Amino acid sequence: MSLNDLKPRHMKLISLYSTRYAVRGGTGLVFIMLVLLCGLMTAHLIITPVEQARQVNDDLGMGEDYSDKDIVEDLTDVARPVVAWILTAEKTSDESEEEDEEAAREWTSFLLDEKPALLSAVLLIMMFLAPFLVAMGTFNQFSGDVQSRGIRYQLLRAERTNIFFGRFLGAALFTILVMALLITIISLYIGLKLQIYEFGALIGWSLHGFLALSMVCIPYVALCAWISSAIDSPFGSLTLSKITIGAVPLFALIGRNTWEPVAYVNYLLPWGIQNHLLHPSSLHLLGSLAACLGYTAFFLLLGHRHFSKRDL
Amino acid sequence: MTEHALIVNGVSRRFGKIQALDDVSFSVKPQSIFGLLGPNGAGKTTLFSIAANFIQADAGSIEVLGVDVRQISRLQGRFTILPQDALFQRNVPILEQLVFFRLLDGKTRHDAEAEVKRTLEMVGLGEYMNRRVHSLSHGMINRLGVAQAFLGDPEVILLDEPTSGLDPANAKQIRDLIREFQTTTTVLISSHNLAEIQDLCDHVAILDEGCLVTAGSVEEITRAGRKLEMHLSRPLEPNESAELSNLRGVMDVTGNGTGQVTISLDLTGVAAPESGDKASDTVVAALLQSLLDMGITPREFHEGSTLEEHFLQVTGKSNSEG
Repeated sequence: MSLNDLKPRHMKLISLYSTRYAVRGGTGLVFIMLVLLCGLMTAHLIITPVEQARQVNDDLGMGEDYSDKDIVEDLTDVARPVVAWILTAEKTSDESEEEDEEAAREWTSFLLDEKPALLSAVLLIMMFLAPFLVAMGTFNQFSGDVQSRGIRYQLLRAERTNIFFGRFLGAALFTILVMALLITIISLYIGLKLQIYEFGALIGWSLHGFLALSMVCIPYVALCAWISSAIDSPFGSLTLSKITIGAVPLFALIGRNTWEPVAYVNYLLPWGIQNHLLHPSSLHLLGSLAACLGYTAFFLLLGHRHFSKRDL
Repeated sequence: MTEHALIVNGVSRRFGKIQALDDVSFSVKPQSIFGLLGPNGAGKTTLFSIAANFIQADAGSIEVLGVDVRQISRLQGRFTILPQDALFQRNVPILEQLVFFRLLDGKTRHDAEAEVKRTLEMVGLGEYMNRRVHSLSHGMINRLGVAQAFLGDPEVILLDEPTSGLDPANAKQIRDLIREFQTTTTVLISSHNLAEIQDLCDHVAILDEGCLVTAGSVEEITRAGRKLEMHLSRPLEPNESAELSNLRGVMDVTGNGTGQVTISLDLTGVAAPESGDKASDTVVAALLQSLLDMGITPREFHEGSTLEEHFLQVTGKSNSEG
């Protein structure tokens, strides 16, 4: 690939065209529905205990002594060990176990005490689900059109490089738009339904959450671009994307019990660093951001290399 | 303008154990209609795919308008193709799809829309422009493929089986369009319809099992081995057969004793008349004159599909296979 091959106009046309028609296509709609369904169900699961506690509170006539804020604080204390476990599961340094636990406690406190806890919980769960959901929406960036040979109509009109990056950008843009929609709905849901967080704090953390979620999604969109460019069958591409995304953390989780270094398998994909996008330290945040971009570049490089040389 | 619109130079391609193309070379003159013939699996679509840079050749090269097709972006807007079996997107209106192609070619949306509407009208799809592909018949989809190949002002068009699956009226419409474009465009067609190729093309190449077996003008290729079938008012006497056989350009006269005769021609060395008619016309005129002089009236006359005969001769296969 040379820089002369890149034509911003072509990439823009191709990305907008693929974004526009991804929404109209069946898989695009399924993706939107799935993301919203998962996001809203997660938010509902997080909020339901608060509402139930509020109901009990009202029934017992303790409304003034025990506010919604108190309810959330109590529930947060219950959730604290779980969140800390999730965060320590990402062993990222050679520090001792105690130091890891201490770091996780601080991180947990940041997420649950300093930031709107309910939104943090939703974000943490969505950060875990996002890679699987992304595969649902972006598995067919190339495979269907290569299989149907429809891509041949574009090959004399645009360089393969521009088709590859244009479609990737279209898929990434589509994913980001869906994530924006999701975070907006969840924030409104939490903000309007509970009214326990300050508007500014909720908006600020929502925005951070949206950017973090988008940054997590992009490397997986790139991974799907690579897989989709290599496999002609959309079903095969979907299956391999899902297996790859799911197998890495599963293998790392199971394997680390047998041999600790197996945990590093997580770093084959952004699993090992992605939650650091919600870390209180700017250093961790920027490191995670850089790593996500690095993974994206690496997967795109492999995908482009294959796509530009293969028979289409 | 380059001397040749398309040059195929020693192209080979292997798929596993199958040698799809083996050192194929030929060239196509600008503003001509060139036919590519061959039985199934002969390598026609592979050759088109290499020419359009869909796939890479193992050896050799193809130049279109003086540009190596591996640098296909340099041919943008000058070179189009109707790929075989390539599907359009199902969920996008056909107007939008073709406008998108023209936007990629560098047109503004306004110009692209006007041009696409005009082209769709030309292929008889004007009233379907806002429909999606799944609501079109097979023939309409074929015409849509031809329309996208004709979009803009391409200098070279590759048409892989353009009339396959079309009814005679639609096929004729496509042939007429090709003829219309021929004044400014070089068209390379692959087809199983030998009569169509003979009717449309000035030059042909015949591929068989990945090898080029013949290339040249239709006139040159069919010059030897041409046959005439005649039904005469009476059977020929032996001396009359011998007399006809001695005519210039006549190789053999065979009768079955009922007035049905087959006359084999060899037009090698027979000059075409200045009137612009074919060389065979000179021989046929002499034959008919001799028959009338003998007091024999030709009642039926049929000049066989000679390209088909040549095709069968060089490939050793029936047309249905090809």
